Amino acid sequence: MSTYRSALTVLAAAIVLITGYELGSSRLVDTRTQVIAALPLSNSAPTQTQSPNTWQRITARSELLRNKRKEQTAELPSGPFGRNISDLRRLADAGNADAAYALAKGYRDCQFFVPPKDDSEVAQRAEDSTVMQLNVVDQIVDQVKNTAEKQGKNIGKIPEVAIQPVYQGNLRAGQDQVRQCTGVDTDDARDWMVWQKRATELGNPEAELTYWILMVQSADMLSVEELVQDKQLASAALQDAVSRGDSRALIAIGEVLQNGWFAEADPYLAYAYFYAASQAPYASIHTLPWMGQSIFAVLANPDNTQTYLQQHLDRAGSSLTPAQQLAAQQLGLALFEQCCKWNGA
Amino acid sequence: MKRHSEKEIWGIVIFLSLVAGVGFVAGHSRRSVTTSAAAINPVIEIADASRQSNPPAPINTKKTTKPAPADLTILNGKEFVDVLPSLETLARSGNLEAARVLYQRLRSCVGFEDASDEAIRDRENANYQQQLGISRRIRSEYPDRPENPMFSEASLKQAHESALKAAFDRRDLCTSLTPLQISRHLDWERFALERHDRKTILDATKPDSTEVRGAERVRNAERLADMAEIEGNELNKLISTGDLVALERAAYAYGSDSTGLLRRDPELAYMYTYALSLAGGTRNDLHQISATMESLASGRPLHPPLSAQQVDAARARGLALFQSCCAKGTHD
Repeated sequence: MSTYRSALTVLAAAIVLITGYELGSSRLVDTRTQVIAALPLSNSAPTQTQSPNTWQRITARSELLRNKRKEQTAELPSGPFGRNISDLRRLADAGNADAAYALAKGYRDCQFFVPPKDDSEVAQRAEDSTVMQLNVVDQIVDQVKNTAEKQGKNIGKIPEVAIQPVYQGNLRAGQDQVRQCTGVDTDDARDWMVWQKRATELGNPEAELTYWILMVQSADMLSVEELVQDKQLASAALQDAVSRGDSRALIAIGEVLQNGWFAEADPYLAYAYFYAASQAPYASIHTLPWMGQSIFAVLANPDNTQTYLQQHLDRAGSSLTPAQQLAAQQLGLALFEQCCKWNGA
Repeated sequence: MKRHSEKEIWGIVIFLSLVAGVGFVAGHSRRSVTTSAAAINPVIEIADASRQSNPPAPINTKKTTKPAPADLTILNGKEFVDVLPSLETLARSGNLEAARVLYQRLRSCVGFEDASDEAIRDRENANYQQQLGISRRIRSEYPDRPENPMFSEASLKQAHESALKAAFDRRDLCTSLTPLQISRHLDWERFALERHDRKTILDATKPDSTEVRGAERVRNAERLADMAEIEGNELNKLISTGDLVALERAAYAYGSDSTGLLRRDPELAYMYTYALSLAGGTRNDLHQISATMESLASGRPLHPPLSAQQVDAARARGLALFQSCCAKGTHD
């Protein structure tokens, strides 16, 4: 009997211990839910009777909201950007994040557009661009060779860049620009960053993943007060992308930390984030929207995230001790688990 | 038996309460040990923007230090590093020339990339050859023009030698400093601004004054925003004493297309320029001032034109500013 009573007591103790533990942890984890639940759904208690006007007003307001919601999630118009601007603006003004991003992207691509006289001018421009690009590549190759020679290193034969694909790429880009940018006001196009910011605020995933680098690139054009605000937005955007389970955001955060773009560089946390990102399946480098598509970017960067991440892990890891690397890897695993595992990444 | 059983029951109740308490505490503390959760949020934490009115703390750990010479501006790179702790002590004791030398020399190392002797010589020689080429071409294309002494071969050679010396000097200086020491240039500049150092206040109106560009500008945005506020106030204080140079610099800083410490504001720039125009000057000055106002009003590629109302308001404010600062007398 005594043994039975003791077993019962231990069992009860275990149940109470677990209940206490869960109660304690749920108090902290569910703070966001509590905040949402605490938000008032109306300002005052409903009155017992409402006039017909009130019902009409409620119906009209509901209709407005429904339309707005439709516009926020509406599909974007297809066809050349220059013809869709007014539709995109209407949708973006209604809060459609994708429309705001399409405006940012379209305006950005068209900001320096000068309409050509005819097709031959498009071809001429493609030729000029190709000559210029190949010339720059030659200069870079010469520099690399000279430096290697001075250091007594043999870098072997550097493969020549094939001219035809570069020219074809430039020609296609030129023709596409004519198609997309005809009818675009270049004064409006110069304000593309306003739309990029709007798209980021509205939560467009690509915009969220690129705002940080665009901000760094345009830092000299912005006032310091604007930069303070933009840093907060870029930071919140990356956090939002992480909370959506987008493992690319882990790489972006790693870049920010490694380069010390928002605060002093932190190789330990950068390593942890790169390690976290390396747990996701590898993909083409072009899945990272902040990577350039130009010939120089293609030459400078690896073609997949595996090599890219390994390079970054090596760089960040070079300033860490083996013990720090190990700890950062543990943290990286936990970060990945928290960010992206549920997302099937 | 009954009493004993009651006691036993109370014992179990107290025991279970204690166990529940332990469980609660353990559960409550669980989150604080999950490093990933803690890492996600502060990970791209924005730099601390809190105001720092105290002088920057010493970071040079050298125990023996050379005293700073009387003329602080003649220090070469190696000498500067040797006397750095003495300079910091001097600046902290209120010597603003020392603070100025500190921020100017430290900021000259922002973005510095180490290079070998040969690479430095190659770079400077390439610059020299380019200058020489331009000068020769001008002489051959315009043989009748009198030679500008600044572009004579002798002057260019002298300038080249100075540039080479300065490049080696910079290398010596920048390779001896830690990134933390270099990053202190903003602290020392702010230190001098807060102590109303006129030269620093005027220096900070130049668009490239802080040497903080690109990623450096993003990283230090909060510190720069604080400094911009101090700079704006200090500049106005100088102007209120009838300082025409400060007025001229304010007009330039707020109107410049290049972004510096102060925020571009064409209407404010117009106000300062108009006040400057009322202070008189030579015919050339007035012609320049008038052209600046016209340019601000008509707009530039980076900002829209001012409306007639904005121009009127800026003129009224400029007149009021002139009357309060400069009508009774000015100084340079």
